[in-house]
Amino acid sequence: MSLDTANRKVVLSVKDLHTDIKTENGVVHAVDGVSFDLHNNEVLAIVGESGCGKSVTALSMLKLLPKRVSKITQGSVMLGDLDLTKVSDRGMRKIRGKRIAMIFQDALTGLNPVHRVGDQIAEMILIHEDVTKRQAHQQAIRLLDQVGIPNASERADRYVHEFSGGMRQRAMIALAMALEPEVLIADEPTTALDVTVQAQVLEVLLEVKERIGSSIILITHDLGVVAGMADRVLVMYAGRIIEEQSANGLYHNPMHPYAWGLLNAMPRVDEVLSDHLASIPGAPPSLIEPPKGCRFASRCPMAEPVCEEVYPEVIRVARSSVACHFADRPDWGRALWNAEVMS
Amino acid sequence: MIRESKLIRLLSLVFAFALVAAACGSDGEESSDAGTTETTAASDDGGTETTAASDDGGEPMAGGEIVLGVEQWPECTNPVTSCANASWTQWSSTTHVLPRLMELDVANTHVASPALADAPTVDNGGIAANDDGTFTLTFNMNPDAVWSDGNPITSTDVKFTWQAKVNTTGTLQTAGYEKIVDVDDSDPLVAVITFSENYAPWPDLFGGTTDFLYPAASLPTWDPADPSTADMADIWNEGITISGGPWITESWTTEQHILVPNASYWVEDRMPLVDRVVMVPREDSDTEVASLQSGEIFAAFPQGFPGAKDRLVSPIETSVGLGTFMEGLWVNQLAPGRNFEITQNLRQAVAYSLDRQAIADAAIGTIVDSPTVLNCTGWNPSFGDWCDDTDYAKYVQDQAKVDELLTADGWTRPDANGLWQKDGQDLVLQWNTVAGNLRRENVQAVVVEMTRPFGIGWEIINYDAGELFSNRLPTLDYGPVALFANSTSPDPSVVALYDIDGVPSEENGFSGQNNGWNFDQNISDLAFAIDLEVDPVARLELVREAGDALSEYVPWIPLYLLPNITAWRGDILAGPVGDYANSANGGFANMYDWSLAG
Amino acid sequence: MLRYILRRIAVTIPILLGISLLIFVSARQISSPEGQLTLNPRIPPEAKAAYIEALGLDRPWYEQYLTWLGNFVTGDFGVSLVKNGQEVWPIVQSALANTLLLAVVSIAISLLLGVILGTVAAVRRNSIFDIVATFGAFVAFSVPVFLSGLLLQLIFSVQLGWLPTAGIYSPGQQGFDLVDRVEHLVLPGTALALQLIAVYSRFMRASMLEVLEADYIRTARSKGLSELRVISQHGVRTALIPVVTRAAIDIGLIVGGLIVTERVFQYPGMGLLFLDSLFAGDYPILLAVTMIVVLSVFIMNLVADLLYAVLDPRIRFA
Repeated sequence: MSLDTANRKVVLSVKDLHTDIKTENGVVHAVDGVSFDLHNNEVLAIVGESGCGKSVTALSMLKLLPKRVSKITQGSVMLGDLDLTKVSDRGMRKIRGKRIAMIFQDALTGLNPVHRVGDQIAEMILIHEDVTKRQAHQQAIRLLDQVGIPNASERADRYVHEFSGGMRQRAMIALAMALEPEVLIADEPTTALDVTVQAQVLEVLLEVKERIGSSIILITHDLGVVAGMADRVLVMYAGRIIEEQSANGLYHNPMHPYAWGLLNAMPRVDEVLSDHLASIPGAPPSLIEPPKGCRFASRCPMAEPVCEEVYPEVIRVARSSVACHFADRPDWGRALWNAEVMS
Repeated sequence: MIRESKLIRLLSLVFAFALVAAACGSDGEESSDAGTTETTAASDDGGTETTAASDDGGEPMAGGEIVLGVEQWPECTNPVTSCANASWTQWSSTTHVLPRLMELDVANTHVASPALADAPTVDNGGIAANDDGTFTLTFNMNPDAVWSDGNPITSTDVKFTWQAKVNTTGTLQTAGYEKIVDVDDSDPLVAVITFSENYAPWPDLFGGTTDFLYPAASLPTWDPADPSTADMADIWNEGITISGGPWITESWTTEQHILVPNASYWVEDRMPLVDRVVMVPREDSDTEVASLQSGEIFAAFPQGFPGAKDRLVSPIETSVGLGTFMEGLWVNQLAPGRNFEITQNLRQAVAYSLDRQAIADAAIGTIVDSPTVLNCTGWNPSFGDWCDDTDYAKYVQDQAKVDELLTADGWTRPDANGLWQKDGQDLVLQWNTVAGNLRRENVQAVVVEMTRPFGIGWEIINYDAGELFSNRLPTLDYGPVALFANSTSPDPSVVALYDIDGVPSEENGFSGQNNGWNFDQNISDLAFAIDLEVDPVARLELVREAGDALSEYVPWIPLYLLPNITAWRGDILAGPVGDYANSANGGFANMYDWSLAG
Repeated sequence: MLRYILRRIAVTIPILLGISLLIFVSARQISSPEGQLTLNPRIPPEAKAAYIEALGLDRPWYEQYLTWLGNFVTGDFGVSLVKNGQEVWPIVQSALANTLLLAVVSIAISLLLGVILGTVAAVRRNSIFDIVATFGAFVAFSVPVFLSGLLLQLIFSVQLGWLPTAGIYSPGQQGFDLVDRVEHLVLPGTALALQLIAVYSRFMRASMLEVLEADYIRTARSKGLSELRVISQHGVRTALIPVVTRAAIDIGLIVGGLIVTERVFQYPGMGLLFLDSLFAGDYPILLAVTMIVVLSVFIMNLVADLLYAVLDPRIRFA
């Protein structure tokens, strides 16, 4: 699945994005300087534990975070030559769904329970395109058919609770692809599904990508999903990207100790990882006042005093990058983690 | 019946607040107006006290429509059945549309009505006590008197009325009619009524306070030979369709009563001045006042409510009548809750421990300027001469009398500041009234303090009106003392109150209205004698004798009359609006003389 | 669905019987038609006894009750004791129509305003608007109708002279007149609506706050919908469900619960009829009113349940 991203056009470019979220306890720097490029027709995965900032990154791009409690304090999100951080609310409405669409984790709660599924798709088509209600409805049925929902014309008039888990997620995908957006952001698209259904849904997602020629940002904590889908992977930890690699590269040669830990904790490629992530001892630091050094230092088996003091420079190796003081030590990590787990 | 509830009390309490709030929106000009132009004048008919703003209404004009508020809407308008038991049925309907034989004038004296050529007297042979013990009344009908359908008002109508009064299903006010043995209607203009015995309260039959004449033609199926056919239960329940009075009902519903002048009425000086009168229900006194203030209703006849004096102010004018309900401490000598005999001495002692003027002030001081103490036990001082205002005047607070009376009765007062005692019992009287009635609970509070120095104590237990009047009073399961109001009538008959055989009991099925207050044979006999004495002068002597006996016996302690108020918009209505505030026929009785201010 | 409805109806029958018995016993205890006659000296004992016998009030109470019940189950509400034999049903019917009009109009307006206020308060949570609306709702809810009603009368009738104080038609009005009828609805409707708006706006705010947190609202925004459309089509539509069902239940309750409003505004509805017949001891009317109130509460609860199912496709009856 590895793709040569160098020759592809960049469709979305995030530069030094900072997003703060106000909470009762203080301001959380949930996204703290994230930069990446999304290339044409690429699947870019963002992995990390819950709370690492991957969903906030995605929502920041679409400015879907509640204004009352959140703010993009710095950075840019370039869609073509448009900086989304500077686009008005009205302008963003033309972007959402039309140029960047989102697929959420659980369609049961992500789709409106009291509107018919077909209507929810048609509604989006109607507000973005100059079509009649009838045409929008026909289009919705066609989309549902395309994502593999049998008897789509009848299903379009049903409510989301009448759909099975896989069907729901297909409907969600149909909604997202309806206007053939340049970017699809899939936030944990299969987490709520059975393993067998997961694969089918991911397959649909890839088909859609090919059909409409869009790029996908796949947000997940499931490295199994990453392995099957992604071209490139961003590993996020505590609001920052700590490693960027091709999917292949990450699996065969993770550079950051955290990435090592993630992979190590994943016994087999096709197993759900959520429980195992927690098996890395310790917890991420608070992002209200993040440590000035490496944010993984407190959990890192090979941390040294310098890790606590200085945030590691991002080291670029070929097309990959990593933020670790000891990134130049080949293969240190695997042995170390193994030893840790054995003992 | 007086109908009050906690609701009304609450409403009264919040009203002060409401007024303050509303005053913020008022321009202040009005209130200064009220203070300067008001004059108080006692009118010469004795019964009413008129507080009237200077007449700024201009010249009266003919025609137009008058809107009146009715405090208790009649359940139906039938003049014979239970519906007729409510004063408001008469005040809002019957009085204005039906003729009478005798009627009450503005001073509540019985006089010949326009349906009669003259009033029967002993001298003109109209009143005759016969040798065989029967009693004959001869009424000469006015040949001009006609019903609105054009038929003359005749002696046959009198005969029909008698039969209907007795035979209508559900008839109630039959007192006197059952003593009639015959009505001779052979001459249409002469009604000769024969009674089985003397019946002095005869002016209240076919007229007077609550009764009327009904047209024989109203029941086409009536057969004079078969009195049972005179059953009016099914007619006139929603409006009386005929008239022999100044007005005729155009329509009657549960929401309004529309009266228009009766074109056939033969009495020139009682022809209505306006084209139409509309009566609407206003059962809540606060709403009634608001409607007066807003000018939706032009006049009302509310029972005195607490604070009336302060709230019925310019441009509302008022005329306050002494009232037709006498309120007092009714004493039940057979009270199950008594711990000792309620003797005459004890009753007198209680009377001597009360400052009845202070009680009257507390009870009705917010309604009238100078509350009057009631000194008669059955006669209304504003109705004729029957009440000797000195009867109870001797009962003023008197420590020596209380000591003397109670000591003579075997009571002792070991602690000079404590309660009297006898046989180990404290002198504590259970006292009931209607729970939630602000006025009466005020009186209780005042009296409890008042009698403390006299060594008389009270145990206050109050009930809902229904419980007290429907359940406890008729079975004598109350008291020994209860505070409530009883009606008075212009005729001095007091048989119902003091008939010694009228004490409700198991044997008589708890009928009778001597609810435990008289067990004196002499008083009972006098009450019957009053009803049998048809000569007014001799009758007055009997009433005086009974009054004296009663003031010694103290069957109950009279306190005050409940004032009636005619309240009207002086800037809208013109004419003698307040004159009938004290009339047994209600404050609207003379509305034929009312007009709109120009 | 049909079975569900039938089952619900079956449950109400014994409750209806129980309540009727309770009301009968307490009504006979509290007041009676003969109680009104106690102190009238013009009524001889015999006439009173004949009257009581004619009304059947001399029979044992259970006999009176069973007679009433027998008529009631055959759809006969009987005749009034104090309105001289007038049929109960037409009397109650007219009162019911008046109260329903008042209830439905007030609830409809309250629902509209309550939903708007509640929605805005929820969307602008903790704003000045929200705080003022919260305080206003608290005040409106706490002020009893007999006070707010009086204030309304004093302000709008006495001071400003805009609206009538009481009744349902201007004095002298005969036959139907829409404008006049509406004018007479305004004050009682407002007195009632003040409280209802307070309740519904609070209810809507809470419901809306919950909905605004829902994932599908975020989805709706991600589709590029305007905020207005997100709130109205996706937020309000869902948040409305519990509020609307609550309003349906209120209609049932209000049919019997407007005693104070109707008295203050002399509005000839069920509350006033209840009060009058209670004072008069007219138990056939009292029982008819009570039965209709109980029935309406049951029916409107059932309607609320069914409405819930109609509005919320997730709910189905087994």
